[in-house]
Amino acid sequence: MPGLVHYLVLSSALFCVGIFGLLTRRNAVGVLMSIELMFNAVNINFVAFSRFLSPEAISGQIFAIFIITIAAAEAAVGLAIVMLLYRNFRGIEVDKINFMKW
Amino acid sequence: MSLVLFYILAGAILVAALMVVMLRNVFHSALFLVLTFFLVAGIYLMLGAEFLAAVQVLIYVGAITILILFALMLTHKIYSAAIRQVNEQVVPAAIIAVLFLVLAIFTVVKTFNGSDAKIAAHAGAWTASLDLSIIPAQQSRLNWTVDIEDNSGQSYVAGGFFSLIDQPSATRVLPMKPDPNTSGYILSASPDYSTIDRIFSRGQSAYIKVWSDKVDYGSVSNAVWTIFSDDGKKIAIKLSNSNTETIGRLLMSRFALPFEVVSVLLLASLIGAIVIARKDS
Repeated sequence: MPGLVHYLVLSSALFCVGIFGLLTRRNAVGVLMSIELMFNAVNINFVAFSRFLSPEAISGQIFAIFIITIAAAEAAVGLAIVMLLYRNFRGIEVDKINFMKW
Repeated sequence: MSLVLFYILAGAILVAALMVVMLRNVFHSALFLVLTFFLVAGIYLMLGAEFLAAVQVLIYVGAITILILFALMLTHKIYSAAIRQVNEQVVPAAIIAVLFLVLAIFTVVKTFNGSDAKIAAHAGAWTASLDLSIIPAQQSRLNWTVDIEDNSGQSYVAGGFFSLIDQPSATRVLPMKPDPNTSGYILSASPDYSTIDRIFSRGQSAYIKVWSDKVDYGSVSNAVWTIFSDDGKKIAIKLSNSNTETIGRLLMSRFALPFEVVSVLLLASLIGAIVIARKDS
């Protein structure tokens, strides 16, 4: 039976894959996908702690549900911004969109 | 057995996640993202969170991925393999990710390794609730039993009593057979079982939670919580082993305010997304 450490190591690894994608992707949608991976890693963490440390109180699962809700809102707004960038710059490479840099 | 399943799931999740961040074709990345979400739902099932697994499939696989695929298709030609998809900071990013991974694993192992013995390891539990206002007014002390029977005909029993009076009374605790470390019950006045109660007021609801590692969770044929009143009447309540009911109760009681706040946030993001994405007239 896998223990708490198993799940925490899995979630750390998934989070680091997300960090790698976040730092290297040029495509804004790819960046958003990496962020979704990191959200999933955090959710695994929450559910694992909820299951192993206080199985009679499932608050961790409720937190995970709220995170999924926030992720949905984030994806909707983020992709709307991507559409706007595409309309104005004819591309969504994040390293080209530096007009706020001076 | 479940350890093997975990390693298969975990390996598949990490491979699929690496595909998401490394493939040249962003469209294929999105498809691997779907696979990752499905496998994470499997991890939730292993952790006994059935409702969350269903929500994961419905919202992540059903809604967010579709949104991402829409965005990819509307911003056409940007996902062709001819365009470089990674920037020039691949090597530093990999170093940072690996360093962070080493740090996280070191912290996790140093903090939690060997603490598994203290951790409750039961796979799930059966729950039921009773609105105490249906108990006749003259009743103050109620006996109860829990009967769980699996398909092989083996039966597991727990029992005790609780009071509907003001004074605390002695409590008879009968742990479930055969091992009290991996079996037990909680009788509580709160739907998240955060307190252990023996005395209830008449307007409250009583919540019971029963668990045992000795029972095969898939093979339970009958699980009943029975409450006996003094005049011989019985109230029998079927125990359910889903956590969906508990989550529903918590969202409507303790987490009602965050629930409402998050619904306002969803509305705000809905309006915000429309305002951002629409064409200026």
